[in-house]
Parts: sequence; structure tokens; C-alpha cells
Amino acid sequence: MNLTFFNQFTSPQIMGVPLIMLALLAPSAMFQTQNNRWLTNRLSLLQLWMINLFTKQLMSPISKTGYQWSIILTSLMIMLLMINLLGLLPYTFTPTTQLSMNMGLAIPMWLATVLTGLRNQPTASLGHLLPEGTPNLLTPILIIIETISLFIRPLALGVRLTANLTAGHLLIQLTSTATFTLLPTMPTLSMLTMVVLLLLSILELAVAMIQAYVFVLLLSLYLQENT
Amino acid sequence: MADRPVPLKDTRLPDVKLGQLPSWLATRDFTPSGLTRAVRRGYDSYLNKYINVKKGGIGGIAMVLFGYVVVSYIWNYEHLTMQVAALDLDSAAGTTFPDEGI
Repeated sequence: MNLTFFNQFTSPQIMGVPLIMLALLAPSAMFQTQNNRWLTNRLSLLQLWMINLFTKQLMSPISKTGYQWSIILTSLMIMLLMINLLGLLPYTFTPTTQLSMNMGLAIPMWLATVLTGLRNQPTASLGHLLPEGTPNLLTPILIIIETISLFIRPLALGVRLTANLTAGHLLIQLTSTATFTLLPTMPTLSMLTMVVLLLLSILELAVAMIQAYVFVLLLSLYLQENT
Repeated sequence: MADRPVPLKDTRLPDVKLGQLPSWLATRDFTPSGLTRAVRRGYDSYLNKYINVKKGGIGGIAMVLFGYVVVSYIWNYEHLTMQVAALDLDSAAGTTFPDEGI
């Protein structure tokens, strides 16, 4: 079998059960669901504080009718955050490196925002295709361009997440392989390990990736529901 | 301590003797609801022992994450040995250009 650097992204299986199932269920184990006490433990406190902060930040520009989206957006954010962070641990599998999964998240969400806008305020959402103040001659061209940009959105959402995570993991594997094979020749080793460490800290920006994802999702919802 | 013999069905796993293990396993119910109840019991007991305490530390989640890493390693084992073999055969030129997609 041709062994390339992309082999790390194949979903390993044991007895027919792919690791992706465990990797998708793992984030749910980190969050405590029900606590009958008034004062919970430290972990729950931290998590609840973060979730509240994030939800308030996310939902503040949206109008009241859009608040129904708060639970799905927050849970999406938490899921992607945990999946990406858990993928940074050694030997783990990151489901969001699979384009299929990210498109499966991006396309339905985007389509829901578009259909919501078209159903509730069709004139306003069609009006978004033409920015204000354009010269009359440019109108046909601009509508075509805006329609194309509207349809590119789910593709961009899915591919952005996939490409960022895949590139990060690949870079880490590349630099660590280089470090390992250059081990006999000492002087370059220390510099390369420093590069690996730097790369790992840059990869913590996977966290920022999620912010980008949900913020873009938010942006499209925002445009639809707020005129 | 052992004043009255407890039926095998009701003993907990740490109290089961090694020879009784197969018969003890036979008394457990492996129906879906039984399995979910068992998983729930394990989850709740871990939660209450390590996380749901007044001054929980990092040990609670650190153990979970380490266990996750170990399980991932086991799941990945043959894939990893294949990669190690490829790295050992040709040390410097162990890679080819990726010509297949993701």
C-alpha cells in the first residue's frame, strides 16, 4: 500500500467499528448533563461560565425571533471546539478532518438560514442580493455575483474547517518526522523541536477556527433575520 | 463479614472470585437497556467520585483524557506499526507525494 502522509486521516477500524464513533462521542463525556444541586463542582462552573459568555456574545446582535437558534449554535460550537481540541492529543482521531462531516454540518445550517429568510421575509432576503447604492448599469452583473457568493457560502464553511484542521495535523506530522529522521545529526534537532512546539501552539488556533465557523454562521443568520 | 451468603447475581465485581467469573458474567443482562444502565452507573460513579466534589482538581479530567489516548492507541495499533515499518525501511525518503485525495 502506498504510504503517504495522508494516511493519518483514514478512519481506523477495530472489528468494524470505526474510531470516528468514539471520537464523536468523546466530547459528550466531558460535560456533566444534570446536577440536582444548586452549587455544582468546579468543572461544571467553568464550563457553564464559558458557555454563558459565549452565548451572550453570539446572540446579542440577533433579533428576538432568532433566539431559537441559540441552542443549536451553542451546541455546535461546543462540539466543534471539543472535537478539535481532543484531536490535538496524541493518537486520537479528529472527525472534522473529514470533508464529508464538515459539509454535512455546513450545508444544512446554511440552507436553513436561507430558507428561513425566504419564508419569513422573501422581499428582504432577495433584496440582499443587491447592495445599496450601486449604479443602475451594474445591477444585473452584481446580482449574478451576489448569487454566486451566496451559493459559495456552505462550500466555504465546510472546506475552511477541513482545510485548516487537516493542514495543521499534517504540518505537525511533517515536522515531527523531520525531527525524528534528523536525530543522528544533532545541531538541527533542537531547532526543529522548537518548530514543532511552535506549531503546536499555533494549532491551538483550532479553537479560533471554531469561532470563525460559528461567527460566519451567525453572520448569515444575522443578515437574514435582521434585514 | 460473610455472615449470610449473598447470591452470585447481587455481588459486585470486586467481590467476585476469579473462578466464579464466567458464571457471574452469565447473570448480567446484556440487553440494550441493561447495557445503558451499566454505562450510566459507571459514568455516574466516576463523576461523583472525582468531579462532583467540592475541590476537584485537574486529575478528574486528566484521567479521562489519558484513558482516551490509550484507547485511541489500541484502536490505531496496526495502522501505527505499518507507519513505523515504512519509516524504518527508507529513513530519509520515506514519503511519496500524496497523489490521492483526503
